[in-house]
Amino acid sequence: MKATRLLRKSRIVRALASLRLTVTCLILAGILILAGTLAQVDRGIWQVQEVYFQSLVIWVPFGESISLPLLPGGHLIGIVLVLNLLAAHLTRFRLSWRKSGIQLIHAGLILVLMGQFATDLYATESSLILDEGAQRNYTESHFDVELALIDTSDQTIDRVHTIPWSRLQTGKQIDDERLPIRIEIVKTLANSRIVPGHQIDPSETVADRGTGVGVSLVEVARATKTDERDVPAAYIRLGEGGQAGTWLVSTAINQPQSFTWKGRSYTIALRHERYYLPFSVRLTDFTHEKHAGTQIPSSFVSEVEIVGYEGAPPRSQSIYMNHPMRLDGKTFYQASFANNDTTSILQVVDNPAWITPYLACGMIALGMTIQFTIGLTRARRPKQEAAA
Amino acid sequence: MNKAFKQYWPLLVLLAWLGYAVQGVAPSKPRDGFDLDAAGRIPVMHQGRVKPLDTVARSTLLMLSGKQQVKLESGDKQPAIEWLLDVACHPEAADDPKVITIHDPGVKGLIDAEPDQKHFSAHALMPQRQHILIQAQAAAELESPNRNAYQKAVLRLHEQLLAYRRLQNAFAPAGTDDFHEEVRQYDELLQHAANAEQRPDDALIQLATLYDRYQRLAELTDLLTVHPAHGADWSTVGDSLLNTLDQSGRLHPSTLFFADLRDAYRQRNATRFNQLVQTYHTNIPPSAVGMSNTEAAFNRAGLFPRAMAIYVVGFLLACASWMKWPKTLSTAALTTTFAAMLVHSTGLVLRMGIEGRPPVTNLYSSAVFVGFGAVILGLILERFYRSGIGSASAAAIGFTTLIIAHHLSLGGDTMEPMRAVLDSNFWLATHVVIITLGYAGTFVAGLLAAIYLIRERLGNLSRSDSRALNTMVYGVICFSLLFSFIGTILGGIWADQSWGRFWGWDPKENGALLIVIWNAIILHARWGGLAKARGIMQMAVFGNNITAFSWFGVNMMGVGLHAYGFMDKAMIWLIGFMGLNLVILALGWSPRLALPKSKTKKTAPDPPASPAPVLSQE
Repeated sequence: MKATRLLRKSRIVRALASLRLTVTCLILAGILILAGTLAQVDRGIWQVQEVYFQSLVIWVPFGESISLPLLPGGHLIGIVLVLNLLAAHLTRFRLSWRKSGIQLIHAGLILVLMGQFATDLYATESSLILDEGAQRNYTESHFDVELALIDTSDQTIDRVHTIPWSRLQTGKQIDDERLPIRIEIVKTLANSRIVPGHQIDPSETVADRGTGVGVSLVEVARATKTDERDVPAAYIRLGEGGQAGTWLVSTAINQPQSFTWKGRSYTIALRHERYYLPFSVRLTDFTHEKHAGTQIPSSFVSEVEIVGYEGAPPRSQSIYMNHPMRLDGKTFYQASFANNDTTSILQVVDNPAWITPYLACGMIALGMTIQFTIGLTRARRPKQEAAA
Repeated sequence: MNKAFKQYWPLLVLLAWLGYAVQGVAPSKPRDGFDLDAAGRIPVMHQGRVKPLDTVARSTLLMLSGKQQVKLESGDKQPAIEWLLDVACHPEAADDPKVITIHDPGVKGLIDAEPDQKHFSAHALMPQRQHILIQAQAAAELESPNRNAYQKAVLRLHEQLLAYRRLQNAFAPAGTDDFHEEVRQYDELLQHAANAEQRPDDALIQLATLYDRYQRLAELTDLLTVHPAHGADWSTVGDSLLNTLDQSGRLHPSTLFFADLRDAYRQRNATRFNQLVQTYHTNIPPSAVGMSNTEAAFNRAGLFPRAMAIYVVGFLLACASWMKWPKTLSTAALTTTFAAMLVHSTGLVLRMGIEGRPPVTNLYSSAVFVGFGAVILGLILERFYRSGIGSASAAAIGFTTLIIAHHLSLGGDTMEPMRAVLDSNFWLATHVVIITLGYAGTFVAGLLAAIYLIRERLGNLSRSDSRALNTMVYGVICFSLLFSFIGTILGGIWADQSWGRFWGWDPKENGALLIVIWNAIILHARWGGLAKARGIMQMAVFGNNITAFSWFGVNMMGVGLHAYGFMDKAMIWLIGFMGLNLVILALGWSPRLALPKSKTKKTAPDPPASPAPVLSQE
């Protein structure tokens, strides 16, 4: 109790509790959201989220070399707002029925903010891309890619080595004793296109082994739209002094590129990072219906079969718009389709904080109801008193 | 008598307005003996839903010319359905009226038109189709936000001509003289081919030619006129004829009907025409009719334009009440606005019935519903504070939103089917309705605050009105915060349900959140005593801009910030509206412009924003 009293009296807490701070934070939040909305005209939504909303400050470049922090970012405003709310409750509000509505509303708000914070930090989103008839036991990250080196020499088991994209930097040597071979990163491109033929510039790197022979890479601008993905690519040189050749790897290359090294056979690929599931999903059928006489979609349905979940026999389930499948803490949504309606793309979300908005919504709705009921009865009382 | 009149005259006013409103429902007189109402009720499948032919006529005409009637050279006004019958049955007559509107100077240059000509006939434009197509194809290759005004206009013209051509080929290939005879021969050929052991070669060639012709016909129109039979789907006349060849070998009665109808109309044989339509209505299975009879009556009634007219009168009466006879005029204003609200909501409910959906399904219906919500709010306020202010704001917003809705209807059918992702009546009924009511609330608060600022500066605001406005604005902002907040959270939950992301910072979500934050700012500024009455009013007026931005601005964003699209018509209106709000807001800082007459009146000083408790800053 004493500690609380001391805290209440503390200058910092009282400054933090100020309504002026609330209003300032809200105004800054408004400006930030407006800026983050307008920025989406030129930049992709993912990039905007990172720069504006999942940051502490927003750095705006002035000229070539100077960047200045112009606005507080979403995380900073969120943190200050949560502190402001907590401090206000500590210093100003007493527990009472009359204030219970406001307290519930604010507690709900804190829950929403914390929940979003947790989502930003811990949620993963990936996709499960299935052709009709195909079965998979892993999902793929939307953005994160990895270089996979797979030892396929054994009949029964593959040994997979993966290196995240962030470690693949132009000019870097990767010489790790856990890897069977030395890898030199000659060049990386964040978004690229593969074109037939060689570049005119003879100093350009070219692949001398695998699928990359006879083609070259063109750098393109980063993807900005929600339905576009970057196609990262790299030239890598394998073995001491490139003994095992120069290879082109890209997420656009689907067929495996194989080579042998010291008597063992390997395949190498740049692929989206994989998250393995404790079961497999098989797509039995995908349907895409349209409203009569139009191109407007009326429904997308994926009929899937869950194989090997907790030892249970296979069972089927439909996943369609507004009706996701929740399984093993993950949620599978119908997101997209491809290849003339024979490939279904499911979005898979693993968000430990998914329940927070639901709880918060309930708390806030209840809080507002209490608050307004009290407000209304109080507004009526003076009249009754006057009448008496 | 006099006393009774004093008590009940508002009821008479109400009844008079309702009488005015139902007038439109009356069936229209046959024109040249043709029962056009009955023809307009014929159900067809068009753009994903069953609707009366009359709706097809009106929405196509709106898309072409922005009107629901055709003004003929003679000065005569032609109803939409007659125009459609002309186009579908004898284009020779229909191609002359100037029904296609073009504004863009670049497009006018392309078709060699005079710069001041705006209306064009199909006759003049059809020969230039190839020419326009090449330009339109180039424009179509760009993504919509990157198209400039010319590219948009040329694409639009291409779509207009396409829509026109689809109507020309709705019942039969355009230009066919006697389609009934042709179909009869086709049927004969089919029967003959089916019965004869050896098909004669020339008959086969004839059949192949016709098959080819009907295949083209099926591609030329998107109007599915032939109702489902034997478990099949709706189909175009062309497809129906082709299916005869594929399956049953018998002609669908409705194919013959449209051939006959067309011939009767071409020959100006009204008796036969009416008889055909009558028989068709008697024989069509009820499952194929759907709500099209109700919809035809709804179209004819024109409830929204009538509600708009009544709103105007209500607004003028309310304004007049601040000058003279406050009691009588404000009662008249309230009654009139109430009548308009009844007409407005009848239209809204009918639309819901026809669509089988909650009230808001697209931008058009959101405008109708924002208006409805705001009018209800205004009328409730008027019930508590008999000052004419509630009626005035209700009428003003009701009228404006219906005007906006009218302009949004120019894009075509306003009840188009829902895309798969939006197809959830539960979320449409909760999230969308609640958030739209939040919009309505902020607009009402903004308008009340504007009335406060203007009247206060003009010295036309009494102390009691000033106090009333303060309480009203405060109450309405609380309402808006509640609805926009709950609506936004529900939207997040819908997003979580449909793609697993509660919040994605997408422009529409951000727009909604901005409204929530702005309302929260106003309330906290008031509770903290950071702004006085005038400041709160100024902030409430600015709320109009924020709501307008999130309602329309974010939809135009791609348009607005890219090159020439900036001059889009709607964008100009949006900017105008925002500018007007800023002017009113700035009025709060201007010197007082007291009207000479009201100098003696007591005007309100700037009171603290009571009666809400001011939180103490210990």
